[in-house]
Amino acid sequence: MTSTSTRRLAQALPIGLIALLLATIVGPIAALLLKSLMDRQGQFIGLGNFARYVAEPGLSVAIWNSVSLSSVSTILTIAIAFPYAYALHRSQIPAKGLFRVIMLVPLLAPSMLPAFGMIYLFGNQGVLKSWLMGHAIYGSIGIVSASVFHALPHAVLILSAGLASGDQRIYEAARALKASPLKTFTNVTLPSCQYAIISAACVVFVIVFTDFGIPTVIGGSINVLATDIYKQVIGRFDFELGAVVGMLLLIPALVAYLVDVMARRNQRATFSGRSVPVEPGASRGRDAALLGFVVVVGICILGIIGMALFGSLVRFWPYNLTLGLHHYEKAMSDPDELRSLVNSLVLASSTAIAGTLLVVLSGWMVSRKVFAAGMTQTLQALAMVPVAVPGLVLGLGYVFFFNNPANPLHILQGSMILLVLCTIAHFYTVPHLMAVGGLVKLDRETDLAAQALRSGPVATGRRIHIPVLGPTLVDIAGYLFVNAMTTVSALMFLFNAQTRVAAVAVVNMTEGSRFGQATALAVLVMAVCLLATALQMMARTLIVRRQTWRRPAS
Amino acid sequence: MNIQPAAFTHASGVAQAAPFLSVRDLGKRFGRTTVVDRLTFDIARSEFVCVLGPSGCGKTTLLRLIAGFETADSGSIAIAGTDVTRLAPEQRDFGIVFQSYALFPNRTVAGNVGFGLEATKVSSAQRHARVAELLALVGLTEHTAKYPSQLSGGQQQRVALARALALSPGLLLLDEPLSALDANVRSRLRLELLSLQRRVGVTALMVTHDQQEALAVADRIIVMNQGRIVQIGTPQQVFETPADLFVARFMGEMNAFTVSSVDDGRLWAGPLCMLRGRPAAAVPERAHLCIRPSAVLVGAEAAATGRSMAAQVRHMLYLGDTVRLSLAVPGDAGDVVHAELPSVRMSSLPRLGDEIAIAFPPEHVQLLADGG
Repeated sequence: MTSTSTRRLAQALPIGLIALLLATIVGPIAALLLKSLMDRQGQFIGLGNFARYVAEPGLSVAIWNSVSLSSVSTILTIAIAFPYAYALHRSQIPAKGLFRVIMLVPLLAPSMLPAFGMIYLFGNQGVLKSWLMGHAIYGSIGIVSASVFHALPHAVLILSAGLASGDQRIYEAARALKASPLKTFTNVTLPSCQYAIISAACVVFVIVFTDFGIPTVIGGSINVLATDIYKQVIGRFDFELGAVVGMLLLIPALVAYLVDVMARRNQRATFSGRSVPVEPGASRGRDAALLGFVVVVGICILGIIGMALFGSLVRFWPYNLTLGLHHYEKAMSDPDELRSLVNSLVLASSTAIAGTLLVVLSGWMVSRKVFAAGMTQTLQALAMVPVAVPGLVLGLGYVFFFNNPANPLHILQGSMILLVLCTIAHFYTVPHLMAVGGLVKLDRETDLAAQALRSGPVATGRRIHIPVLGPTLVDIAGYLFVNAMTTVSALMFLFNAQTRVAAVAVVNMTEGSRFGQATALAVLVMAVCLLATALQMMARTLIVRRQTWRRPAS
Repeated sequence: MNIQPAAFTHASGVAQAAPFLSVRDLGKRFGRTTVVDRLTFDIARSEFVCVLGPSGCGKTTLLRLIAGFETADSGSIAIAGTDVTRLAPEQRDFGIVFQSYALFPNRTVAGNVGFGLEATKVSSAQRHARVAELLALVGLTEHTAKYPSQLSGGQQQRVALARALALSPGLLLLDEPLSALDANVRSRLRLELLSLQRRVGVTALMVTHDQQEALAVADRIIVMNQGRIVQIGTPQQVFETPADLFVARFMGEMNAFTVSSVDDGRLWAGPLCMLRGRPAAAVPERAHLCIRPSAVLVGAEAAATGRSMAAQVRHMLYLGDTVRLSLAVPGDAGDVVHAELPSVRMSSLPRLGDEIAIAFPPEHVQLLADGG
C-alpha cells in the first residue's frame, strides 16, 4: 500500500468510528426522545405522553418506589462499602488479597443470582425465614438487600481508588500538630475521599435505579420504573408510554452523571502528582474491629452466592434436599436454554473482540491526539455518553431506531449483530477510559520523537502504543466479556427466539416458575465468567512476564 | 568561559557562509496571543546556536515550528536551501532531543537507536553496525540490551541523542535537553554534547532557559523575550554588551539604577555616574546605569582608585568560592549595591554593620535601556 493511500485510510478511521458511535449511541437515544413526544400516529404532541403517564393510576407510585428504594440501597451500600474499602487500604488486617477477591465475585454473576440466594435464605420456604420476623422478602426488603449486594463491589472499587490516593505527608503533618485519630479521620480522611464517596453514591444509585433483574425476581408486587418500562412495552405494546418511562429513567442517571463529573473535576485540583502513598500504622482495636466487619461481609457475600449454588443443586427445594445436577440437566436438555447459553458465549466473545478493537482505536485516537482537535473531542464526548444511559433506555432506543423501516440499518433488526453492537455501546465508556489511561502515561513527546524518525501515526501505534497497552488490552476484553455475559437490561427488548441469551433466559424462566433451573443457568453464567476471568489473569501475567521492559532496574 | 574555536565564531548576527537554517519573518499565534513575532535569523552549517529566554518567551514554539510540529502563520523556514515551511515533520531533515528523553519504553537501547533505521532500506547488518557506532559515540556500548527504565537520566538522554543522530540529520534540535538532570550530570553532559556536535559536524539549535548552559556551549546565542528576538551574538557579546537591561539581568546579576539627572555631560543614577562621551549620544527613555556585582571594587582595591566611597555592610552571603555583599551607600535614597568578590582574595570576612570602601570602575559602568 502506498503511503498516500495509507494516509487516506487513516484519515477515514476517525470519521468511520464517529459515524459508528453516532449510529449506536446517539441515534437510538434521539429516537427514544422523539418517540416520547409523539402519539401513536407519529404526530408531535409535546408532553402529552408524560401527562398520560402521570394520570395512570398507580403508575406514578413506581417513580416513588424507584427513588426511595434506590436511595435506601445507596445509603446502605456506601455504609458497608466504606469501612470495607477502609479496611483494605488503611489498616493492617491480614489476608487483604482474599477479601479483595471475595468482593469481586458478585461482579461475575448476573444481578438475579443474589436475588435467588436471598429467596433460598429468606423466601417463603427459606431456611432463615424466621429472621425476617414475619416480613416477606418479596418486595422492598428483597429489592434493597439484593441491590446492596449487587452494587457493593462497584462502590468498594471506587472508594478504594479514593482511599489509595491519600497522601502520607498530610497524616504526618496531622500527627505533628497533635491531632487525635478521630480528628484526623474527620478532618483529613473524609474530606480527601469525599469525591470518591459522591462518585460511588452516584454510580450505585444509577445501578439500582435502572436494574431490571432484581425487582423482576424478588420484587413481588412492588412496581418500579425499570419493570414498568418492560410492562408497558412488552405487556401492553404501549411504546409511547415505554418511551416516557425511558426518559424518566434517563433523568436521574444524567443528574448523577453530571454530579459525578463535577466531583471528579474538583478532585483533580486537590491531589498533586507527587503525593506519598499512605502507610497505615498499627492499631489493635481498629484492626480487630475492621477485620470482624470484613469477615462478616465476606461471609454474607459467599453465603448468598453459596446458597444460590446450593439451591441449584437441590432436587426439590425444600422437600427433597438430595444434591445432584438435576436442574442443570433439565435446563441444558431444553434446546431453547442450551441455545441461550451458546448465544451468550457468541455475544460475549464477539463483544470482547469487536469491542476491544473499537475502544482501543478510540482510546488511542483520544489519548495520542492523532487527529484534529475537533475529531478528538467529538470522539471523547461520544465515548462518555453510554455511562449515563441505563441499559433499558438504550435497548428501547434500539427498538425505535432500528425498527424504523426508513433507517437503512433496519436490516440488522433481529440479528445477533445488533445485540453485539448494543452491548458494545452499553459498556463503551469504562474500557475506553481504560485504553486512554493505559496510553496517557506515555509521554506525548514520544510520538513526536517517532515522527521525527519518519514513523507515521499508524506505524507508531503498532510499534509503540500497542505493546505499551499490552496487559490493558486483556483487561478490556475481560471486562467486555463478563459484562456481556451477565447483562439483561439492554437486551430485554432486542432478543428473539433465535438470539435470546442466557441472562435473559434466566429472567424468563423465573417468570415461568422454573426456579431451580433459572438458578442453575445463572450459576452456569457465573462459572463461565469465573473461567474467563481466570484466563484473563493468566494472559495478563504472561504478557507482563514477557514484557521485561516493565520491570524497573533492581 | 568560551570554548568555541575561532572558525565557528561569528562577529555579527548573521552567519557568513550560505546559511544552513534560514528563518524569515516567522510568526505564530495561539488564539489572540502572539507567541512568535516575526523572527528572522540564520544559522551556518555546523554552528551551535542556543535560543535563550524565560519560560513563555516562545523559544519552544520556535523549535516546534522548525521541526514542523506546529504550522507557521506567516514567514518561512528553509533547511539547507529547501523551503520546508509547509512540509510535514517526517519530510524535514532533522533529529530532535526532548527534555523528557521521550524514549520508547518497550524497546531496548539498541531498539530505540535503530527505530528510525528500521523503516529505511538499510540492511539489518548495516543497521546493527550503525547502531553500534552511535552507541560507541555516546559511550553506551555495554548498555545495548537494557531498557530505558534500567538507565539513569544521563544515560537515557545519551540514548535520545544517539537516536536523534541515527538518520544522520543535517540539523539537530534540542529542547531543554539537560534541564531534567542533576547539576553534576548536567555539566558533564553539556561538555559531551558539545564535543559530539563538533565531531559529527551537525548543525545544532538548542532551546534553554539556563544562561550558564547557553554561555558554555553556544557559538551564538539568540535571546528571546515575549515572542521577539532581543539580541543575537556570541556569548561574550551577549554577556558583556547586552542589548538592554532585560538581557543583562537574564545573563546574570546586575546592579541597575535609573538615570535621575543629566548635567555637564554626565549621567547620574544612584551612586553611579557616567560621562556622556560624544555630545549627541541620546539617552533612551527609562535608562539605567548598570554594573555587574563582580566588577564592583571593595576595600583596599577601591581605596586605591582614589574615588571610593564608604558603604555599610547590610547582608552577607557566603557562597564558598565567592562572597556576596549587600552594601548601603550614603544618601537619602537608601540605595543598595551588590558586590561579589572571590573569597580567596579576602583576608577576613567583613561583619554586618562594618563600613568599607567601594568604587565603580568607569569602564564597567554601562548605560542600558529598560527592555522587556
